[in-house]
Amino acid sequence: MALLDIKELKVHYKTRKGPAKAVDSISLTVEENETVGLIGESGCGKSTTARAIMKIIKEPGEIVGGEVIFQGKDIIKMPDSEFRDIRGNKLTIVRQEAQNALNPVMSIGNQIAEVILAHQDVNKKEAWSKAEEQLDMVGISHKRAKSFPHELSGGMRQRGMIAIATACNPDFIIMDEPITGLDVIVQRQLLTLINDLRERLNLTALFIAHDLSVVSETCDQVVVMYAGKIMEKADVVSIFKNPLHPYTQALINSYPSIRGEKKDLISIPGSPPRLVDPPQGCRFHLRCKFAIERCRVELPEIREVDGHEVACHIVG
Amino acid sequence: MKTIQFFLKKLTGAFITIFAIIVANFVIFRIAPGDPIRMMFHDPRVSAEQIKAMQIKFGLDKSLWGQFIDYFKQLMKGDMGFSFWQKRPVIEVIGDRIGHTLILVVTALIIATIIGILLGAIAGWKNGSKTDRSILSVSLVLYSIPTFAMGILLLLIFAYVLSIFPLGGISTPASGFTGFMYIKDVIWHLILPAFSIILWYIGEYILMTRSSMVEVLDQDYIVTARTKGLRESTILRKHALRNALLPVVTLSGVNFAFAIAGVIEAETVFSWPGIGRLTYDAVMKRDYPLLQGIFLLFAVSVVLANFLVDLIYSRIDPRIKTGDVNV
Repeated sequence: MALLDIKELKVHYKTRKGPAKAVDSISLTVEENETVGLIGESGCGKSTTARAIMKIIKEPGEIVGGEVIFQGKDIIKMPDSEFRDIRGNKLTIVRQEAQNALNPVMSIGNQIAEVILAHQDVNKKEAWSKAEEQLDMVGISHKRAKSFPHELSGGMRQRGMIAIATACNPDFIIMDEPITGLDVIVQRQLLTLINDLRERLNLTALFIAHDLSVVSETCDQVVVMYAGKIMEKADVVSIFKNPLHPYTQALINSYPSIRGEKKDLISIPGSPPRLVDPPQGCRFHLRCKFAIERCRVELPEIREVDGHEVACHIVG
Repeated sequence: MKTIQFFLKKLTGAFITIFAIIVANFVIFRIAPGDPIRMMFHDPRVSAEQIKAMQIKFGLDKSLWGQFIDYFKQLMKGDMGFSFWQKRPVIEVIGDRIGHTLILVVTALIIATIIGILLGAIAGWKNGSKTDRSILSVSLVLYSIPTFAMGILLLLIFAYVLSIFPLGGISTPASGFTGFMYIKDVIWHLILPAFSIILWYIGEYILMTRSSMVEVLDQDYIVTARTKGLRESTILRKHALRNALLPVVTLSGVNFAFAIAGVIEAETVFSWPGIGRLTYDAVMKRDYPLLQGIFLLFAVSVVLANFLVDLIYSRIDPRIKTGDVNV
């Protein structure tokens, strides 16, 4: 059984012109000990998907349909009191831009200890020493446990967030662009840390990124999202070597590769559709150079082609 | 920066400010029109020699600088001058009244702060709900009625029409009450003037706490607290309220300081024999030394309250000591 099974998840944001379908009936599964990368342009719904799994969608957003089955139970229908025991404990998240994600008037040690106290049967002293261990593990000296967020650098704060997310030995961790907004050297250090922890703690993860190179070195499976829909899903090697969906191809072509051969970068013409009234047919057809008449009228179903799951009429 | 260093820095700042106030206070009353000797003796029969003698007696023949040195020296000894109107030392006149004002202000502000913060926090937490809207409307109404208008309204309803509370004063005259009976009598007299102040400040505290709460609830760290799987009550207490109260603490300090000066309205309406009423009388009687003393008291209370706020703030907001605040 998959650890996380998302079925037909729909998240809408209420707007004056009607609901914006940020996540439109997506289904995806994450198996145990697997890291799934979720990639796509800004506004494609990847972060909304992450928030929906944690049930932290803010107004005017709303989960309007579907199921998120975690360890056999649908957490969408689960009452808050029950979900509270899972959230932060078995299911955790590291969100992007941790600059303001830590409480400014609480020491980092206390913020880690807090989550341990909430979920484990330990006293304050034990929680504190566990918090110190966590800090050491993420590469901040435990001597800094009494530091406040403003005394830590951006990279350290994100390490702190990782320490919080891994404090209760989670079964599943969502990394929502964990290294976005940091400088490249810090990004590299954090990525090394994340990969290291993934192996050491045997983490199952959903890794959200818009940076393909990051995904290529962290993930086992890759899911490509566009305008609230899943376009393609395949294992990481295959998706880069043999992208099937025109959107995946365009995405890879628009991204520089350091190790591979030098190539001209090709930007994707146009911009993503408005999610309030997305185009009929395939969401991508307006920007797709292979689009045929059928793409304009009929929404492609996800099919299996060459071991990929792909939603495109012209593939295969 | 270490706490001691922070404390010393703030203390030095407070002393410098108080000194500047003393200078300004001295200068203002020297610029003010009128000859103090003439004001003491309105009688035109007082001869020029007598006036000269008085000037020498009060040191007014000296240069401005010499007068300031005298003023400062005496101030250090606790001598604030002599009230023309009451014919006794200013320090005594103020000393008689300050207690009354403090009873009124401290009681009123403590009650207003507690109720205001509580209601404001609830309104902010339930932002947009019916509860929020009711609390918000009430607080806007309270906040927009000036203390004196509220005072007259309370007086009319509860003292005149319903006759539950007395019309004014601090105790029943010639009642001969002592001990517990006297305290009860004072509390009975205190209720209406206190409420005329409380109601306005409740409005202010609700508005301030509510907006601060709404702002804090939108912060990223509240989402983090949620993703930790904490109880809503824990999130409210440890994360939201703790941060939302930071600006409210500043407000409280400023309120306590200005309330001592600002109860003039309530004290006048309810004939409460405090500093506010005294100020009103001193202005009416053109009693410059008394006014000078009262002004100094007001200014020093503002400085002291700010000093206290700084100290409290450094305890509750770790960012203060390093000066790295971007709230």
